[in-house]
Amino acid sequence: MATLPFDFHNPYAGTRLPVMARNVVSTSHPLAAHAGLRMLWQGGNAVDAAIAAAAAITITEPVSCGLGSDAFCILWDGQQLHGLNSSGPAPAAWSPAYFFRKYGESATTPPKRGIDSVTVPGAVAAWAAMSERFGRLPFADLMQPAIEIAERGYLLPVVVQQKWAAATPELQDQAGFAQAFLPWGRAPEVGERFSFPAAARGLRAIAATRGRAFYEGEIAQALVAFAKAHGGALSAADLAAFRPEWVTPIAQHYRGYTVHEIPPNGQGIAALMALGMLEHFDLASLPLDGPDFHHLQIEAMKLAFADVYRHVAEPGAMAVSAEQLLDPAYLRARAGLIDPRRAQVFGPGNLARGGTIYLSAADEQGMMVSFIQSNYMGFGSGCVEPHYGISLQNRGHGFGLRADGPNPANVVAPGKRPFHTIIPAFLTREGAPVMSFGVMGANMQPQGHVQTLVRMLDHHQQPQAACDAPRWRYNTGLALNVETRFPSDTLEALLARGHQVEVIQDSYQDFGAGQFIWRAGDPGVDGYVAASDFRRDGLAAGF
Amino acid sequence: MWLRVISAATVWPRVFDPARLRRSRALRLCAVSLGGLLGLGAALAQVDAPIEPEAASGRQSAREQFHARHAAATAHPLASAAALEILRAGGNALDAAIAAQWVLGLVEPQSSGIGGGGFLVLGEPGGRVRTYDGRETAPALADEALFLQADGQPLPFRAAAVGGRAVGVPGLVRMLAQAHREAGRLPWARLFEPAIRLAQEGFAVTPRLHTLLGMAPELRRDPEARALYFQEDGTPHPVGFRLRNPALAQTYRQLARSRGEALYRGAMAKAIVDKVQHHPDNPGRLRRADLAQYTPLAREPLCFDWRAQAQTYRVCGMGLPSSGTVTLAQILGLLVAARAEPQWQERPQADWLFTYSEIARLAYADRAFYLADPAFVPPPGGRVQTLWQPDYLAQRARLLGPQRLPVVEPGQPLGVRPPLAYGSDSTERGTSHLSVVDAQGLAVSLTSSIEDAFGARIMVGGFLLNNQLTDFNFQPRDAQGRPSANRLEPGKRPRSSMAPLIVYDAQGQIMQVLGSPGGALIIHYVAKTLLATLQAGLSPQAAIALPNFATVGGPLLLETGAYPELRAELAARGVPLQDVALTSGVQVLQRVPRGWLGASDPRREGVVAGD
Repeated sequence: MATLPFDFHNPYAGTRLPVMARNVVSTSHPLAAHAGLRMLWQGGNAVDAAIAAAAAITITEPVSCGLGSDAFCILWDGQQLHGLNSSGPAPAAWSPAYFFRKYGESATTPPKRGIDSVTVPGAVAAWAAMSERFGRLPFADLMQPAIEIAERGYLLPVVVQQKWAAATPELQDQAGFAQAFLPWGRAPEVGERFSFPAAARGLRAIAATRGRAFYEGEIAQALVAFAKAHGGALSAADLAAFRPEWVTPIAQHYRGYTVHEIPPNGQGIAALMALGMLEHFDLASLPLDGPDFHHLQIEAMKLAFADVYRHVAEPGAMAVSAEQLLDPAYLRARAGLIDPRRAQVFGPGNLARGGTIYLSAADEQGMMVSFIQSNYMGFGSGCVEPHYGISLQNRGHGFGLRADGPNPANVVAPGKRPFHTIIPAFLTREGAPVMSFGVMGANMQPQGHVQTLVRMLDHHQQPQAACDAPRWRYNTGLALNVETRFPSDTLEALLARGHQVEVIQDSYQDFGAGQFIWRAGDPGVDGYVAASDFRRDGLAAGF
Repeated sequence: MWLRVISAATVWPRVFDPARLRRSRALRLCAVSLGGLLGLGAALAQVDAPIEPEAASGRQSAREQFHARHAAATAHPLASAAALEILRAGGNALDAAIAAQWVLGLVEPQSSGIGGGGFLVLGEPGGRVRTYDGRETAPALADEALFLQADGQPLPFRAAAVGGRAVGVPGLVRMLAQAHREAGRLPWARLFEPAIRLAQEGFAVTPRLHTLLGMAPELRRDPEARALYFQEDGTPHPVGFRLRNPALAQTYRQLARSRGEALYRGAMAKAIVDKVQHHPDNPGRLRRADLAQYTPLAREPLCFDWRAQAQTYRVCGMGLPSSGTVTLAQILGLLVAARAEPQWQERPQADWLFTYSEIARLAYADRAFYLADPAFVPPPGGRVQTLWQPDYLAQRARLLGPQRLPVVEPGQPLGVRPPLAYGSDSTERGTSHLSVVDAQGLAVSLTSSIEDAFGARIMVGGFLLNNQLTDFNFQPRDAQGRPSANRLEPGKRPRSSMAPLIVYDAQGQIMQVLGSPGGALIIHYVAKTLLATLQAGLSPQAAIALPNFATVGGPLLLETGAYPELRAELAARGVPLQDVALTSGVQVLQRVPRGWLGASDPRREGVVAGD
C-alpha cells in the first residue's frame, strides 16, 4: 500500500497535475515521452524507454541537445544504483598553447562557439552502454521512434521555438547550422513542421551498428573530415578511444534520505554540499516560501559553489577530493559561516592539498532511470556535421586555459574531461530507491535540486508543487535572480538582508526545468508519482 | 443644415487654402497673447475642487506646419527640438518620442516624467499596431480602503494626492525600455543626450511653468523641489530664468547606463521608497519589492471602425485599463446610431451639441460602471467590444429624447447587470501627449502622466513622483457592499482616460496621430479633433482652436465664454451649463499629400517641429 509523504494541494499557479502510473516517462517534450512509452508497451524496460526518449529528444529539442551531446545517468536496476559518466574528453591535440596560438595570449577559455569548442561527444556511447548492460529490447528498436520523427518531422512547440529564434542571430554563420536548423533561411515559427533527414541517416547508422558508426565507422569519418575542413582538432583516434565510465555515485544524507549525484567532473557535488550544510538548520520549522526559508538555502548554495568553482574538474586533476568536500565536519564549519540576517559573498574554504535535457523513466519491475543529455549552451557549438546531422556540443568552453585562473585543476589538457554542469540525481532511503529526478539548466541545476528537495522533504510538497514553486537563481556576488511569481513580502525581506534581487521578466532566462519520478511503494502495485516542469513543453506520461 | 461635400482627395474645406500655409523649418517659441489670459481667472476660482488637472495659463498664437519627411508635435518647444534632433540623427519615431519624453520630464515637470506612467501606441505603415502599457500599479500593501477616513468617508482630494499615500509604482521607464528593445533603432543611451544637456546647461522657465508653480504651495514643502523651483522668498523663479536640474541629469545618466533599471533597483529605488514611506504628513506603502516586480505589458491594441463622410477609418489606441479608446468608440458609434452628423458650419450647432452631450453622459455611465484593469475585472462578456456592438448602441440611442434625460444609468450589453457598484468618477490629471512620425512612416502616439499637476509633490533625484492611485475610486463599495470595478486592489492598474490614437484610412495608411492631456475630458478633446477634421473637414489647427466642450455625466462644460449663441437653446432643453477653462493639449499630425500637417494646442506651450 502506498504511503506518500505529501500534501497534494498545489498552492502555485501551474498547468500540470502529478501523474500516477506504474510505468512512466517524464521529459521536456511530448514526442520524447511518447517514444519512451512505445518501448514500455513493446515490453521494454525503463532503460529502453530512457534511451528511446533521449534519441528522440535530440531531434525534437535541438535547442538543448543533439547527436553530438554528452550524457550522464544514474539508474536503479532493481537492486542497486549505478552511475554513468559519458562526458567526452578534450581531443589529443588540445593544450593551452593550442588555444593561445589560435586565439591570442589573453584568451582565458576555449571559444564559446565553433569547432574549437567541441570535445568528444559521449551521448551515443552512453545509449549503447546502457542498452548493452541493462536494456531488454534490441538497440535498433530504441532508435526507431527518433528516426521516424526526424523523417516525418514535427510541429514546433512554443518554448522550443522561442529558444530557437533567440539563438539564431548568434549561430547562423557557424558551419552547418543554417543548413540544418534554418530550413527556410530563418528559424521556424510555432507550429511549423521541422524535419531532419540528415539526422535520420545518422540515427540509422547508429541503430545498425549499436553506436559504433559514431566512434569508428562512417559517422566518425564524417566528423573528422568536418572538423578538419573547419580548422578543428578532433581526430579519428580521439573518437575511437572514447569509452563511457561506470562510476559509483557520491552521496549525502538529508532528513533521513540519501541524495546521490555523479562525482566530478560534474557539479552535482554542489547540491550535496549545500544539503549537508542545510542539515544543520531546521528548515521544516520555517514558514514555507518565507524569507528565512529561502535565505538559508541561498547562502548554503553560495558556499557550495565557492568551493565547486574553485576545485571541481577531472577527478585525477583535482587538488582536493570529493570526500574532502563532503566531509561532515567541513560542511558543519561552512554552515557556521551563514548569517541568517544578511546576504554574504563567500570565498572557497580551507581544504587540505584534490544546454540540457533531463528525462526520467521508471517501470513496474522497479527499474528507474535518471538521465541527462546536453549540448551545453543551447545548440552548443553551432557546428552541425551536415551529412549525418550531428549537432555538436560546446563543452570545451568549460575548460580554463590558465594555471593562475579561478580553477587551476580545470585547465585544458589532452584527453582530459572538462568541468561539467549536467547532473542527474537520485534519492534513496535506507538503501531503497525513492526518486529519480533532475532540474536542467547550467548552474541552475544544483540549485534546482536543493530547492525542490527541501520542498519535498522538509515541507512535504508533492512533486508537481515543488516543481511549480517560484525559484531563485544565484549567479555571482550578491546578485540573485528570482522569477516574477516570487511572493512580494519575501522579496522585500530578502532585499532587506542585502540580497541584490533582480526579478527576471525575460522569459528566455532559465530557472531550470525539472522532471521527477517518485516511487510510491511497490512499483507493480502502487507505481510512481511523476511531475514535469511547466517551464518547458514537456510532460509526464504513463500507464 | 449645411452638408459639407468632401472630395476624395482632400478633407479640407473650401475656405482652407493649403497654399497659404507657412512652411517653416525653424522652431518658434510663441508669445502669450494678452487675450488668452482671460482663462486664468476662471482657473483660479476652482483651486479646491478642480475638474481639471492643470490650470490654464493663457493662449499662444499658433500655426500649423507642413513637413515632408518627419515631424513631432509635443507640448514644449525643447521637447519637439529634441525629437527633431534624434530624427535627423537617424533615429526612428520611437527613438524621437522617447528622447522628447525625457525632455518633457525636465521642462514640463508638472505633467509627466519618469516618476509616473503612460501608454504608447506604435503604428507601422502597413497597419500593424502595437500598444505598450506603462501604467502605474498599486503597491502590494495598498488596499481598497486607502482613501477612506476612519468614518468611512472618502478623503478630500488634496489630502489623498499630496504625499506618499497615492504614489503608484512608476511604469513609464520600464515600458519605454521594453518598446525600445523591440522597435528602437538608435542606442538607448543616445536618447538621453538632449535631456541631459538641457538639465546641465539649464532651460528658460516658461510662462506656463511659472504660473503653475505659483499655484502649487504644497510643492514648497518638499525640500528638494523647493530648492530647485523656488527663490529664497518662496516665490517661483521668474519667466526666463535659466533653470538647471543637475540631479535629474545624473538620474538620466544612470538610466542611460542601466537601460532604465536603475529606477527599479539599488540606491534610486531605495530613495524613492524612503521618501514615500517617510513622508512627514501622508506616508505611503510603496516597497522595493513593488519596484523590482513592476512589469510593463505589451497589449493587443484596441481598434474600431468609424465611418465619417463616406470614408471608413480604423481608429486604434490603448485598450483597458484605459477607458480612452473604449469610451471614444461608444461616443462616435452612438453619434452614428443617433444619425447626428456634425452640423457644423465653422462650429457645432445647438442641436448637435445637445445630442453629443446626452450621448456622452450615456458613455460615461458605462465607463464608470464597467471599465477597469482587465486583469482584475473582465469587461462585459470578456470583450470590451460588447460595449459598442450595433445592437447595444441602438438600444442606448433609443433612450435619447428632445429634452435632457433626468437620470442616466449604465447599460447592460449582455442583458444582465453584474454585481458591481457604480463607481463615482475620479478624474485624472497632469498629463502630456506627443505625436511623432518618421520618414519610413512609423508613427508614435504617447500620452504620459504623473496624475495631478506636480504629482504627489515629492521630488527624488530631480523628478517628481506620481499620485496616480487617486485614479482609483476612493469609495470601493456601495451601501450594499457591492464592489466598484475601479476600486483599488494590490498590484492593480487604476483606470485611465488617456487616449493616444493612430487613425488609419481604408487603404491602411496612417491618417492621423493624436492625443491630449486633460483627465477624464481627454476623450472629448480627441473626439472633437476627430469630428472636426475627418467629419467636418476643418484643418487640424482650426479643429483644435474650436472651443472645447465636455461632460462627465453632470452639466455640459463649455470653455469659458464659448458658444454664446447656443446657450439659450441648450438651456431650453434642460441642459445645465458650466464655464470651465478646459485646458486641452492636443498634439496632432495629419497626413496630407506629400507630407504631414502638424498642429499643437495653443492652450499649452507646444509646437510642431520637423523637416
